[in-house]
Amino acid sequence: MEDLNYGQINDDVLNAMRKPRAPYLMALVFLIVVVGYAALVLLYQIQNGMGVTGLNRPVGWAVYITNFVFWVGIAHSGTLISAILYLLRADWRDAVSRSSEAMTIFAIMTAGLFPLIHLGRLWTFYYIIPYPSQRQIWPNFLSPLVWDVCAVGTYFTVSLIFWLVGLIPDMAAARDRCEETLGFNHIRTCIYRAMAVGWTGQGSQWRHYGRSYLFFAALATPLVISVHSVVSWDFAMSILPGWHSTIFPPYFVAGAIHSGLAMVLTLLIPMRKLLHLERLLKLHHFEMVAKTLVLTATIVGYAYVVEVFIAWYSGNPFEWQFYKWRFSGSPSWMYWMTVSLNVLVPWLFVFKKFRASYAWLLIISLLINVGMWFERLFIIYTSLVHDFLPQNWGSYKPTWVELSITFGSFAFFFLWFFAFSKFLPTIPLSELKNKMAEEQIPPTQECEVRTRQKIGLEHPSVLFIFSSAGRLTEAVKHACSAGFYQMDYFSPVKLGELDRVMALPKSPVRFWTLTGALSGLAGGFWLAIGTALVNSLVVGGKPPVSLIPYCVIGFEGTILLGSIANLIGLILHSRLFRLKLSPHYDRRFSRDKFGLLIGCKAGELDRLQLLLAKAYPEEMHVSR
Amino acid sequence: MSAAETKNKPFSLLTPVWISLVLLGGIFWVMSVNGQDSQRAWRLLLSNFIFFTSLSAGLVVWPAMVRACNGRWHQRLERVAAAGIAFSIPSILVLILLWIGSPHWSPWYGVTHHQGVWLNNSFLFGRDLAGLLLFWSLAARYLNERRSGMARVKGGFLILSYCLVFTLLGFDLVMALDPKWFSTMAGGYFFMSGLYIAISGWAFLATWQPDAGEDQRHDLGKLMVGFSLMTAYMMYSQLLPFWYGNLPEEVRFVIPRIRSHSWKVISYGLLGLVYLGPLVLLLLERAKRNRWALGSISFLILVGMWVERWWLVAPTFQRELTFGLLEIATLASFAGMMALGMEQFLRRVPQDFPSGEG
Repeated sequence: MEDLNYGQINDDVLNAMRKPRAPYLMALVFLIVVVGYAALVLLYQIQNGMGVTGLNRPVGWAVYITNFVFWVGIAHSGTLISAILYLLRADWRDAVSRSSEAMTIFAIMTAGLFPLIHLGRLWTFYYIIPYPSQRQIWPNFLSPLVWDVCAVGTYFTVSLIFWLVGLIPDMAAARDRCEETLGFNHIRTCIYRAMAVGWTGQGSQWRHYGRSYLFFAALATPLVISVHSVVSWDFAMSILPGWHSTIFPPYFVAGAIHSGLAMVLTLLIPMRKLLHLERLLKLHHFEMVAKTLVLTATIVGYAYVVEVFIAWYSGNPFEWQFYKWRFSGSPSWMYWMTVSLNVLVPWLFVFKKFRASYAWLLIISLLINVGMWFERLFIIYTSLVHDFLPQNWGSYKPTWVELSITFGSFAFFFLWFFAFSKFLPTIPLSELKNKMAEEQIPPTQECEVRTRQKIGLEHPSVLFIFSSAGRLTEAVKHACSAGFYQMDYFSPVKLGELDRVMALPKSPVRFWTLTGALSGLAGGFWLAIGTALVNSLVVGGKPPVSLIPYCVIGFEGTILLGSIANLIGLILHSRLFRLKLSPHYDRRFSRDKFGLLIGCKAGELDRLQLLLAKAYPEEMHVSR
Repeated sequence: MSAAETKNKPFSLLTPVWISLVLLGGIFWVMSVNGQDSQRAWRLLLSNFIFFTSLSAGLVVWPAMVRACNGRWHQRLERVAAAGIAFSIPSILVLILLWIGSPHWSPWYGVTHHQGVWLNNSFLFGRDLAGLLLFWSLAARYLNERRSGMARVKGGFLILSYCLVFTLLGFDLVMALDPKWFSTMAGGYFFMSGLYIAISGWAFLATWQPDAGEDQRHDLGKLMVGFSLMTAYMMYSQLLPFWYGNLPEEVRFVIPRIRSHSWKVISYGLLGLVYLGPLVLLLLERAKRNRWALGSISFLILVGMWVERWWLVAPTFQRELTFGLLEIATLASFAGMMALGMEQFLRRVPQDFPSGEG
């Protein structure tokens, strides 16, 4: 990627969005057919009832809940790559972050279907929503299933906002290109224009955007951990052997990231070839994913060993007989298969030979996905078929209905991903260009006086155009040293270093985020306590108002309102609600050019042009 | 004083202070162990052992972890963290002392629990000693290679051995103090909170280093916040199923820590200080970048985590809280030992250590 310039990166990514060819359309039709078939099977299930599935006493949860847990898990790697690795400043994430984030959204959408499908009477879903109820049958916030609704709902909302916000600068690039190639009123242009929400890449926008993106990442990081922890508590809160375990939350989170990273490899290796992204998606990126898989496999392996050890150590005869049955009884094939596929096989990535081969990367990623799906099924159904009472033991076999809907869920997920790959940039343009821009900027001292970014149209101004972020920075320094403090820049990338040189104040978006987060914290507790006081029922021997489990609701409220307030702050301060672009804006500013707009008095125009000629601008445009 | 002069002088003005702390604290502890408070003194030896061993081992492991993540920001602070290895010999000696004194305090000595040979006194201390020796020998080999090399592979093994050995120590020296209590998370919590102690210790040491810039302090502050949340998450992940399941074998960990008023105060204090404190105290960027602010907060967290290690051990045996001169003297003796060792390490190891490329 080192050999590519701004324009080539732009072209490579946007070229992938060209009109699809026959094989793509055929694949799309195939996926639609499978999804349609699964929808018909679901109708059959609704018509005939849950008796058409393999669910019966003692197994009430099996393949559908497995699919829910599996798809929520797949979603996690997107947030890991987009948020956690962003905070850790891992550069390799840039190339794969957009696809992973998209994967997150589509995986949560797929996961969200399964609690509904599992309900049987899916129209009763609204019972769990805490709307003001005349019948006073509000949800019980002590139940992990209600935590699930709050956690997954928050996760979907925050991930969607995070993804759409990340897309804004790239949508501007797509908008500008479509305006040139397809025309101003083409449907695609209109959609991209709407999604770009008036983005011009001005410094006054980037300043708030950079801060806001950082806060989204900071909020999404604990959120991703909380979501799968909440999913794990669906099981761990019971006292069934195999389910009631304190290590479940981190074990589930690690497993989720493990399967999600494997899915990133499964999707991106073919996509790289099909969309001709070889120049941007290099082996190095996949190798880094593979190395992370070694870590997650180790954590999962650690949890497997500790669970068995504590089952023995506890001296609990139910727990220990259950584990002995798990690894030597009828489901033992599944146990040893998951240990092999989830721990031993990914450890092959320790060897360079396996990390450096696309074929091995793809094969191992597929095996991990298979292993992780079976691991979820294994955890869920074995505890139900083999609990405390031998008289209660049973068996479970999925029917064609469950398998068809499961198959359909994969098609549903891939359908969305296919559509995304042709309609939106699969690689974040602005982040890839960012690294190049950072390298171009020389060490520059901060301006002595804080610059002002607001330049009225009525004032004379000069717009200087550059091809390099370094020249732009030099020009800013020349201008402020000569007493010009009214200036703003246009850039295809975030230039944090330039903001420092211009001595710009920190974005006030942080106050919005903090206020939202604190309100969400208070609101979460208020909702849970208020609801408990309405019903005031003792359920499961627990007091109606119990602060320990309400922390989950308080936490989800913190993240949800913090993110929404962060978005509002970004929109207001970056003035993203305007539909009209700045009159100084040039389409090249979203591709490969940088602009510097300096306001001055009418008599200073010549001096300014002479002064900035030292920074070698490619063009100068004077507005008198 | 130049770096070369510092290196040539084996002692500083503080050296006698550290030696005095070691001796005075040690003498007081020996007197107590032979007096009426014998069991309390042994338990204090254990809680100080688990605190200072976690701190010193974590200090050695942290730079290896940062390097494994391709981090480069810590290079100027790697030397001071490496000084944690100076506590290796004391930690091994204290573990041997705990073994020797086990008839006086250990719940496993001469008793056969349902875990059979696993909680046999000699087997337990034998495997812990072997694990600790393995960890420190790997740490020594890693640091030796870091003098001139990258030590990438050894760094990986060091991190892995830390996680496994400290999981074992957590199971044996914290969870097994009450052989009827168990938690699958106990080992994981122990090593993860050990990393939290160590990052706070590293941040505290960094504030005394003239080489450390604002950016390094900022990164250390962020890691402190991250690990405080991770530690809080791991404790909550244990408490929530305990609360929900309400099983006698699980709540026996919680009840001694909240039933007595004095222990309850400590429990809530820990919640406010070490689990959620950094999130509030280090919320502002200025607090993370400022030498004095980060130094004070990290010191406060270290004190809080010492209390947490003590809280993990003491309530299992004492229904009512007792805190007195014995606790302070034992802590002073260990702190003196650690400071003396680290000072000597930093005075004797070349200034350009580690010279291997970051």
